[in-house]
Formats: sequence, structure tokens, C-alpha cells
Amino acid sequence: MRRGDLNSHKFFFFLVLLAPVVYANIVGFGPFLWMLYHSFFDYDFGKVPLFVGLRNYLLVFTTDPTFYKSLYLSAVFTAACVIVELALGMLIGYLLYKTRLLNSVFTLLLMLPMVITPAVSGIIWRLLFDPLFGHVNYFLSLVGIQGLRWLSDPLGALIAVIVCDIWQWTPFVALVLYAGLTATPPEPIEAAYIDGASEFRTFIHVLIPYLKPLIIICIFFRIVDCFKAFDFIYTLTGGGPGTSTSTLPLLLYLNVFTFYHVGYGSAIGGVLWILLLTTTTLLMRRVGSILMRE
Amino acid sequence: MMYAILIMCTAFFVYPVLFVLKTSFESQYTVRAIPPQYLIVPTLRNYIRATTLYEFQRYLINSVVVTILSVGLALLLGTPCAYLISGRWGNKRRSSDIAYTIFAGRLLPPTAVAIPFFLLYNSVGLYDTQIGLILIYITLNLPFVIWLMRGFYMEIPKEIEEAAEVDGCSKLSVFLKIVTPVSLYGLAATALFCMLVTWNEFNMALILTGVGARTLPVQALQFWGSLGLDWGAMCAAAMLITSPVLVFGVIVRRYLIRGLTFGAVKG
Repeated sequence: MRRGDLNSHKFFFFLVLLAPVVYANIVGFGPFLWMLYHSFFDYDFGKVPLFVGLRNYLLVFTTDPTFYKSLYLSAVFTAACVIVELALGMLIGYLLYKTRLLNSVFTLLLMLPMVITPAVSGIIWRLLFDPLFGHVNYFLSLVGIQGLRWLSDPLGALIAVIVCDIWQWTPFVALVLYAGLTATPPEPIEAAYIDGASEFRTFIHVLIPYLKPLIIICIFFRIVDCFKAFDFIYTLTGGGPGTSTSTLPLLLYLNVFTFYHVGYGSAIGGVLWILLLTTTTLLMRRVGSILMRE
Repeated sequence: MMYAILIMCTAFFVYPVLFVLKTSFESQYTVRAIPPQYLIVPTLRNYIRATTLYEFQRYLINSVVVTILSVGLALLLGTPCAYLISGRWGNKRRSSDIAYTIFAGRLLPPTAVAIPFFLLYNSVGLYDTQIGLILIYITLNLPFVIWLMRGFYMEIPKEIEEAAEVDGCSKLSVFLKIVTPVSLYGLAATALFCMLVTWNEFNMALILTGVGARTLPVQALQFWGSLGLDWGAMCAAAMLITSPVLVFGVIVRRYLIRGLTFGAVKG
């Protein structure tokens, strides 16, 4: 009964299985290949594409000052966000783990920033960072720091963008690590307690090794998302002042849709992709094995 | 002591949300007061201003239609696929590989994907249409659908299906009559999660729509242009745009982490 069943349905199975995969790959990767292809052309919107080989990439790496700046900004932004989110997330996750009372209330409240539309959260923080009426400056004035101009200052704007991302995604790290902590077996912890280890040492030497796969997952997703980040940066600062918060995705967008340099923008897109690819391949093997482990 | 730190941290994360909520109901005269006034007399005027300034209904309908249709279609396409790669059929290695390619889509920067579509849609006439957005959002949702449902299907014990097959059910019947009802809960969670992601999508909607099929998050930017000084109305608009997603998020909060980490963490 089984064998006949399988043969007659095999084609149907493949069809059902492949349809979404094919669709997703065409729609997802097709445009990407298109973009890579056009990165080798001198192509402005409306002009006829002219093949120029690697010239766009050469321009990107040699004569374009904005590219290295964007690269630097992307790197700084990602590093700052990931480090703070990891540290803060670990702290909060641990606190959640140690305190049993009202846990569901805390997790509910902590989950809120994650689901807020990123574009809207950019606007919310734009209000909060307002130099005259924003609450950030108000609270800072309570501790004696007066009137900082956040969004009109290059460094201030960068910090604002970093704060926005931290606000939105630290709960993610916290909740992931909290889930991991609740899943750790109690025996090693009890053993450490019996052996007289302090709270801190227990944390470092017993809990963190258990959390390692989750930490890697968090780092992976945060790095990918920070490099891709566009929504809230665009609504919070628009890339500015000037180009001081124009990370790579913003640079890509500006090149293509403000200056209409499709070919050149595609080269930037190509570079961004290679960057993402290398970063993720380094972590991918670990992440992959974690994901496949059911 | 630990509670104190926890409460302080949570306060930091909750404050902006409460800020928007409060400001959206606040009268224009106290909206930008320093120090901020927390005890306010609520008013609905901001909401009225926010919804009558632009054609708010149009953007709302756009968001609703695009979200529901793209998630629905993604579920239809993705669930059978998820079932087939949930490890029931022979080649586990091939299942993993296929799953991998789908996961890789997560890494693509949305702008890069949207650029060729922008040009393509322009020549085909799909620019600024709901259909255009739906087509590309299906691709956005498919990885989530497949990964999440795969996880749910893997939790269903094979015994139930085998029992049904022994009783004479064809494989398709097993899927429709046995597996689907059991996984309904997972389907609902996946659907809500995908709707959350799709509703919030800004990048591609910005590029692929003009004024006609524009969705709410993109409109938020326009709101800022005219309501930037009108904090009350701006916050009212923000509340309106975010509230569906807040509701979705609260409902599926147990699966949120699982969805965002592609099933790696079973929150």
C-alpha cells in the first residue's frame, strides 16, 4: 500500500514542495542578482545602461567619501547596539530569572518595544529627543545636564539612533536569554551553591556556558538586523544631519532614489551584501546547527 | 533590590509607549509643557485631527488588505511546504537544505530587493498597487510561515497520523483532516505573527508605493511633515498605526521569540 502511494503522489509532492521555494527564491534572490548584474553598468534612472565592468566598485572604494563614512557608521552603529543590547539583555534576563513574582507582567511590558512599528518608534524618539520639549533633555536636566542638541549634532544624532535601536531590541535579547535560563537544568546550579560559589561566579561559570548557543543566536540576528536597519533611522534622522547617520542601507537608498544612480547604488548594494554574507558565514555554521537542533 | 533594577529597566522600555499614549489624548496647550504634565484631561481632538488631515481610511484599508492577503497567501503556499520538510519524509538532509535556503532570505536588505522591483513594477504597471505589495510581501512572509509551521508540525506525534493511515486515510486526507485541526493553534499564532511583521513593513512599501497604495507606516512619515509640531495629533496617528500590532503582539507573545529567532528559541 505504501509504495504505490508514494509513486503516484511523488510528483504532486514535489510540486507542492517546490512551488513556494521557487517563488521565494525567484522573488527574493532574483532582484538581488539583477542588482548585482546592474552594478557593473553605468546606469542612471532613465539613461541607457552602459557596461563599465568594475568601475562602479572602483569608484565606491576609491573616490567616494560617503561610502567609507557609511561603512564606518554601519560598523559603529552595529557594534554599539549589539554590545549594549547583549549586556543589558543579559542583565534583565538574569533578573527575570531570579525574580519569580510578577514575571508575566514584566515580560508583557518588556515585549512592547519589540512590536512597535519601527518607523513609528523612530518618530516617537524624534519627539523624545527634541532639544527644547523632548523628555530626554528634561530628564537629563534633572541631573544637571542642560539642553543637548541631539538631532542637529552629528554625534548626537548617531547616539539617538543607537538609543532607539537599543530601546527596541534589548527586550528581544532579554527574553531570549530569559527563556534559555529557565531551561537550564537546576543540578549544576545547586552543585555550585553547595560548593559555596558566589552568585557572580555561578553566573559566569555555570549559566553562561549553557547560554552560549543563545548568545550566538542573539548576536547573529542583531548584527544582521543592525546592518540592514533602515526604517527607524530614516524616520528618526533621515540619514542626517547631512550624512552623519547614513548607514549603508540609507546610502543605498539615497543613491538610487534621490540621486537616481541605479548602477552605482547597485554597487553599494553588492558591497553590503558581501559584507553581510561574510559576517553571517562566519557565524552561520554555529547558528545553523543550533537552528537544526530541534 | 533586584526588583528595583528590574522595575527601573522596565520603566525605560515602557515609558515611550506611555508617552505616546498620554500625548495622544492630551490637549494642545499642555502637550509640550516642560516639565511634562502627566495628569491630563483626555480629549479626542487629536485623533480627529489625525484622521481627517489626510485620507486616513485609504491608508488604513491599504494596510489591512495588503497584510491580510499577503499573509493568507503565504500561509496557503507555505504550510504544505512546511509539512513536507518537517522530517516525515525520508531525506532529512534535503529537507534541511531546502529549509536553509528559505532561511537565507532573512539576510537580504529590503532596499536591495525592492530596487529592481521598483523598475520592474514601473514598466509592468504594478507600481503603487496593492497587488504589487502583496506579491513581494508573500516572499517576506514565506520564510516565517515555513519555519514556524515546520516547528509546529514537528511537535505533532507521528502516531496520530500513522493510526489514521492504518485506518485507510490517504496522505492528503491525513494532512487535511488530522494534522490541520491539531495545528490550528500554531496556524493562528503564525498568522498573527506574520501579520505583525507585514503591518510594520516600511522599507519596501516606501519604495514601491506612491500615494495610491501607500500603507500606514509610510504615511507616518508624511504625518511628521505636517504634524511634526502638532505633538498631540502626531501621537494620535502613531497610536492608530501601532495599535493593531500591539494587540497582535500581546496575543502571540508566547510565540514572538520563537518567530523572531526562526524557532531556535522556544520562548
